[in-house]
Amino acid sequence: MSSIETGVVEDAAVAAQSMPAGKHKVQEDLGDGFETVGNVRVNDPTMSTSDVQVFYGDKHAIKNVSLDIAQNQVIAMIGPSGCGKSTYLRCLNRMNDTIDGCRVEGSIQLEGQDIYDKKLDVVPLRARVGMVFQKPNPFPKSIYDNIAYGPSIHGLAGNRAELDEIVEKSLQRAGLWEEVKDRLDAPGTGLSGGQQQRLCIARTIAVEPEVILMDEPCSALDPIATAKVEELIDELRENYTIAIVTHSMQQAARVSQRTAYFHLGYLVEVGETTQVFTNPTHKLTEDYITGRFG
Amino acid sequence: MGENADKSGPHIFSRFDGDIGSFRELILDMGQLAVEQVALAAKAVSECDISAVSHVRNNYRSVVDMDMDLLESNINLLAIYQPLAIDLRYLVMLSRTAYDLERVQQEALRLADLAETHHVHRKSASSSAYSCAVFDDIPYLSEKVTCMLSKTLEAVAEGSEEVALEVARRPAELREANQGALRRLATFIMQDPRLVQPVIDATVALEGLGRVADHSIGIARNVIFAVSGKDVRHLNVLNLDRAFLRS
Repeated sequence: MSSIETGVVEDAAVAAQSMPAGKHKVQEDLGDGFETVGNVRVNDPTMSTSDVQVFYGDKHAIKNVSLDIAQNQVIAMIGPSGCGKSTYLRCLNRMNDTIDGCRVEGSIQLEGQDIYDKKLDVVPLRARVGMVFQKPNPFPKSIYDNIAYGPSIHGLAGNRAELDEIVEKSLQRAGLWEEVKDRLDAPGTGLSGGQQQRLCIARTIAVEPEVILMDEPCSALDPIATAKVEELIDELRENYTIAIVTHSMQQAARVSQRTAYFHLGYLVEVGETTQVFTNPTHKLTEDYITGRFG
Repeated sequence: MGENADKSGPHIFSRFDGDIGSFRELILDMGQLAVEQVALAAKAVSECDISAVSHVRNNYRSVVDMDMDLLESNINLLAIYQPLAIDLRYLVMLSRTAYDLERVQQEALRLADLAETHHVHRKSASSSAYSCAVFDDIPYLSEKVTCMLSKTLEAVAEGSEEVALEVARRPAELREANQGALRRLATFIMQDPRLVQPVIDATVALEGLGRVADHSIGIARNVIFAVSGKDVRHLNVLNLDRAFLRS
């Protein structure tokens, strides 16, 4: 896999090195020989990563992470701020390419294809591996155009009728159709926060991705909007593979089937979500999810 | 969480440690009362002590109050802190312990009722028919059972898997003592058919004490679950040994 040379150090990577010590002292570096607890591999994965390392300049943000993303499952990535979970997520559709000074090593494959292959065009890759961000970010366009933009530039619709169909289907899948069908020409930015986030999800699924990455998709939403997005994630699992980063243990427990715990750039533990939240194997995982630091 | 908390360290949100500690203390108070109630009720049966019956009944009112406080605390802890992993298992264990202790107090109450019936029977029968020897095994078994319950409470207080295992591995010893007592009761009937009623009373009392022991073992097995995450509720002693002592 090729490396990506860039320049600016991401806040998260800095945060990993500057966690407050004291009564609840944060664990020191786990060491080169550290091995992830649990089965990192699954049968027939949609994405497979091996020995992934990410550097922001001199900062080593992700350390030898190997993990499979299973088909039609939700995998939750949890861990304290600066542990590398968002950095790892962003590697999965090469979003880190846009960060100066970022270098990615190791192997990341989508359906067996190396996504860091120099010949690979990142635009179709990001259609296959879509992303939903922390804050809803609709385009300053109409609701209709927000959804239609992606399919148009990727040539997924031959005519206006086909585009209409994609827009309706995407909004229905995102559970937003009934709320917006009479005002498709209204600006997307005029929707409530929760509706905007579901619009962004509809925009992502409009280009028929295989994988949807979600980086704290509910952190800016109220409990009702959060519940709707969680319900949507559960429904989307039937057709898509989803990787979600969240700080909410309860959300991770509710929406995911597998959970991966990151700590200081290491993947400490991965396992069935019920096992991780009721009887984690690694002490660091237990200390984190029970609100302790050992 | 006793020793367990020392191993895991305090929570960042320290009020959780305080609240779960208060919850545990309330359960241990209820447990201590359960030990006293069982001992008092067994004394009421074996010594036909009617004043002990009144004490058991009066104390049960405190148990009802404690039980209601415990349910409220338990719901608050779950709703406010939404615990996970060992905290969740520990809270589930405490909650089940509260249930078992309430059942133990119910057994004490039944023993007290039995003592009262026994008292009535005794007054209406000839004194020889109510030979005290019929109830000779009750104090011994009561002591065994209350010791077991105290040991279980020690396991709860310390979150100690070792102490809990010690209790969970003792049913055979208690069963043998119980069977010995039943054999002796059978000989009383064979010797004197007029002793049928007191022997029935003693048998019912022994069964009640047996159920108290079962609750103790149940609590101990829940402690093991809380500490290790292994559900050992349905393992026999042999498999329990395989799961822990030989591993």
